[in-house]
Amino acid sequence: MNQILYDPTGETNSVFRKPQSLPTNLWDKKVMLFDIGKPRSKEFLDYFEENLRQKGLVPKRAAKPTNAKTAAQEVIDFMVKEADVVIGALSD
Amino acid sequence: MSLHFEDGFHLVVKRDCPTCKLIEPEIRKLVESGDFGQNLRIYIQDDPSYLSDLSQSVSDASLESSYRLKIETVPTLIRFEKGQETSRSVGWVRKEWSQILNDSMFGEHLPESRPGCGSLTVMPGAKETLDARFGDLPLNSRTIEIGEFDDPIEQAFERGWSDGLPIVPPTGERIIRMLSGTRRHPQEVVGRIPPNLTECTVEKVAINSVMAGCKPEYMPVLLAALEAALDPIFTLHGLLCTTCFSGPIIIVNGPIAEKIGMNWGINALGQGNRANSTIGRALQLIVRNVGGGIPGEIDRATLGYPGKIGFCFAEDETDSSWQPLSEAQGFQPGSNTVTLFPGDGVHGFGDQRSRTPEELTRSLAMALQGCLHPKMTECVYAILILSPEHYSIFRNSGWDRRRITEALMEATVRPGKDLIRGAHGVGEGIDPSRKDEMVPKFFEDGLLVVRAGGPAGLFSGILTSWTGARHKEECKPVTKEIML
Repeated sequence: MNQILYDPTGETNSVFRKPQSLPTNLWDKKVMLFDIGKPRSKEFLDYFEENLRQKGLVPKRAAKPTNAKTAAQEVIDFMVKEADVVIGALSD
Repeated sequence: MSLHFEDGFHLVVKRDCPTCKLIEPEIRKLVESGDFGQNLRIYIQDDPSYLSDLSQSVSDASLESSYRLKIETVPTLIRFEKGQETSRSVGWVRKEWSQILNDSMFGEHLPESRPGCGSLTVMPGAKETLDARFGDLPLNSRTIEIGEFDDPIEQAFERGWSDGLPIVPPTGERIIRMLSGTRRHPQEVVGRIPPNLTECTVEKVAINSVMAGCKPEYMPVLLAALEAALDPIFTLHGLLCTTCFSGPIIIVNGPIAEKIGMNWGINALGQGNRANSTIGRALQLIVRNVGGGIPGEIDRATLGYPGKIGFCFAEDETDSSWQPLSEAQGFQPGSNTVTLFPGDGVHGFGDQRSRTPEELTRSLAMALQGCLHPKMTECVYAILILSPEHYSIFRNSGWDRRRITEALMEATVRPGKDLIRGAHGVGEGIDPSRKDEMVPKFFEDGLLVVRAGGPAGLFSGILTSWTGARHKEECKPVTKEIML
């Protein structure tokens, strides 16, 4: 007789679901730069944005006020709607 | 699939029951009479060879029939008519059996009555097991079927449910038993667990408690700890994803600590006590499994520390001269509370020479300066865990919690010139603009003191908080009442 266990997880993922593979380039993608709220994140992202713009990309920006808390739902919704690729800045 | 009980008589017995043995000759007469025999079914709970010579007997070794008939005592005689139970007699009561069987002479040579024996369905642990096998479980979680010969502990490892130690397999009967420790409904949502902000029901708490090795009576403590963790000011998200060492540390106050067998004495912060070891582990399993706070993924701790498996202890409230932490946090005397502290491992403090409270205060202040970094100030909370022998030095001079805390706060104030960046050849430090200030080590509420530890040893402990507490309006320890 088989055994039955109960799933302890949040069941947000299929057991077999795997993350998407990283894109090989950004040229045809909508790019979002995400400031997670660490000190000097903005400085890093400003530098990164300038580099992307010089290459012809026009990234959008999103931010949350502190790295210590999760992003507000509207910020998440905005990124889901407006971006194919999100680049997050983790820096001090 | 539920059983159907035909119209007629249903008798549940077991060999290991003197009352069943007493009435056995009458049962045989009944069967041989033919009238009732055709409409009788006898369920044998224990030894299937008992009464096996009778065609009316069936083994109920699985106890499914007994469970569905809601048998608590054997023998029990039940009559069904038109698909409904119309009468029932529990144990041997001659008058009742005569009425049910419509035979005034039945059992006339037997005593008027005899109590029956406990049904196997009411043996300790049987109810939850039978609920899980045959009942309508109030569980909504996804079920995962594994093979008969699969090791469920290995399966849990492979599915990523474990913190690195073996878990107790979360089977239906264990979860039902765990849920008996709380009056809260299994589907009540306790909150959303970061980082995935997934809803966590009481049922999910119970499943992870089973895996951690908890007993049902720990559930109220764990639920209060989880509510404390989900208080926005505790900032669980930041704590679980930080590169710092920290994790949630649970301190239990009130009579419940003794009731569930917690340790606040010898080795209070160490191994060997089930409640201490498993309550903290259950909280961390919830963070991992429900919230998705997985080391190496969003948990980015540079080193971590062993307490992230789980860290929980009780405060020693046996000395009436000491105000417990719960009261200091504003709760009524005798309240059951949990205080959740976002903290690191134990920094040991040993002082075997100080004999006055003033000496010991200065000595402790030197150790407290080391929290995070000796030149960093107002960026962490700390808990001083005073051992009984160290506390006795204060108590014998009439110092109470308030005086000890105030003295330590005062003793940890230092000149800014010693703390600024570059001072004493060390790059770390506070802003150079504060060089002329006297700078406190902690915020005004930044030092908590609790009592724990064995009776011998001039050793106390210091717990340092996560550095997220440097934004004091963003992260603080949280105390919640435990609702029984």
